[in-house]
Amino acid sequence: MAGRFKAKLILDNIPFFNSALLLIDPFLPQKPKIKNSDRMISLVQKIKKASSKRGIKTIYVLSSAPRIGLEKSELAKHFRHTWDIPLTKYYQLPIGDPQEYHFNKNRYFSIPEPLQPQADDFCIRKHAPSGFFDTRLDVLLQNLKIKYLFCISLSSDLSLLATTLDGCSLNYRVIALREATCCFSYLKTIPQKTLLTTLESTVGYTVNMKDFLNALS
Amino acid sequence: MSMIFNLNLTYSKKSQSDEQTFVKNREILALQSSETGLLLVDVALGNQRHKTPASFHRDDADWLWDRQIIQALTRSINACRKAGIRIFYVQNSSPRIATEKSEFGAHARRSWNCEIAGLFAESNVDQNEYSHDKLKKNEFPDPLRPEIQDIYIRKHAYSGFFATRLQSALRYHAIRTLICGGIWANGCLLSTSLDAFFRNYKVIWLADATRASEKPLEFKNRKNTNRFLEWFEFQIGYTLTSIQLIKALNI
Repeated sequence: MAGRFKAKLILDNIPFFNSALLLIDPFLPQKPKIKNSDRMISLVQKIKKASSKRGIKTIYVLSSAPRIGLEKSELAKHFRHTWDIPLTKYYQLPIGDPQEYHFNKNRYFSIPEPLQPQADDFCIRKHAPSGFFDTRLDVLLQNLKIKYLFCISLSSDLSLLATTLDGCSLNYRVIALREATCCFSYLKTIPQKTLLTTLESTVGYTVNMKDFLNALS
Repeated sequence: MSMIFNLNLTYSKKSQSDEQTFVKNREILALQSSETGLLLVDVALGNQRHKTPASFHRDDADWLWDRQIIQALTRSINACRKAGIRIFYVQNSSPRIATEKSEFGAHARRSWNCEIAGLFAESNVDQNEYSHDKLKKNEFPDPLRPEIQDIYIRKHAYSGFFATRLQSALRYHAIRTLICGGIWANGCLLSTSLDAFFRNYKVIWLADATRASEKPLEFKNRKNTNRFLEWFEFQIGYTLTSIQLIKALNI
């Protein structure tokens, strides 16, 4: 409750021209097919459109597999021994320069069609859980003079936590959209409620999507 | 298969008799090939600079110099490939990150009369991530073209380390020493080398595989290039030539 109350307070005062909507790994698992995902996708789409009307830039922060010896990293070793998944295949995207990226159709995840990035959206590709680690995200946010980050992550608790923690350390105000926070996390390693409490207690704020939409309108 | 090789390097050392004077000195370093990387900075010099043009003028010193650099880089790349030394490319690019609103963008407008955003647009990139131009791409001289096993990092500032994956790549490959060449000795190569040095890498320049920008009157003697080579030996690391590298690798 405290988190919601705080979010309500700041929403009234947030200058939206200093805000960005961060879609952190907005992927859905290819299998199993998620039931009732259409409603959430449609809600995120509405938020994206309403944000755009208020001048809020949408930034996609996407896991990818650059050809930098990722398979030799500790993260890849962890993926192998704990999840039994090759990291480069897990992170690969179906587009990009093959000299720069491992690229192919990803059989684990994809961005739902209605949420595909549009021409005026920004895309940052990351190769670690945090969107800030060795990427251009902080540079982009500084160039756009962004202070407030509204964050959505449909399925990845790890990427959301790592990115928002770094965002907070880098002096951004981080606000997670509650219902969309790992709502499709099929591993369910952390229950959504625990994740939201963690975000509120360690990183920043959370806000209901409906309240956010109302504030935007 | 990793091997140890000895490099005979030049560095700058304070004179014992005169506090203000620095003299060239030599040191032999034993390096492990698996812990050494060849770092090539902005070597997409176009695909014509290494060829003899149809209308070749003997006094085309600028072209000749580029060709010498390309030959030195080619020698070094071939030798490193044979020795199992990994090759890292860092190359200018134009990611869509609102660079036009940055101080770098303002500087480019103010001093160079150009827009930095989109300057290095390419055809073979994801349009969501990079500025796209179907008619443009980074053209490498044939012998310098990266191979699929090489590491290719796109940068958007002078330094190859600034907001890129270069440090991740070097860590994953357990690299501790960087042998560097490319353009410019007073620009991107310098900035990248400084950042490498502060990140605790041993930095070595291939003296014949780089150049600095030169004023017309200083061009003939390569004065500015020599100035920056000396400055590098004085402030950051070591130098050697591509021929010395090949000899050391015994290729």
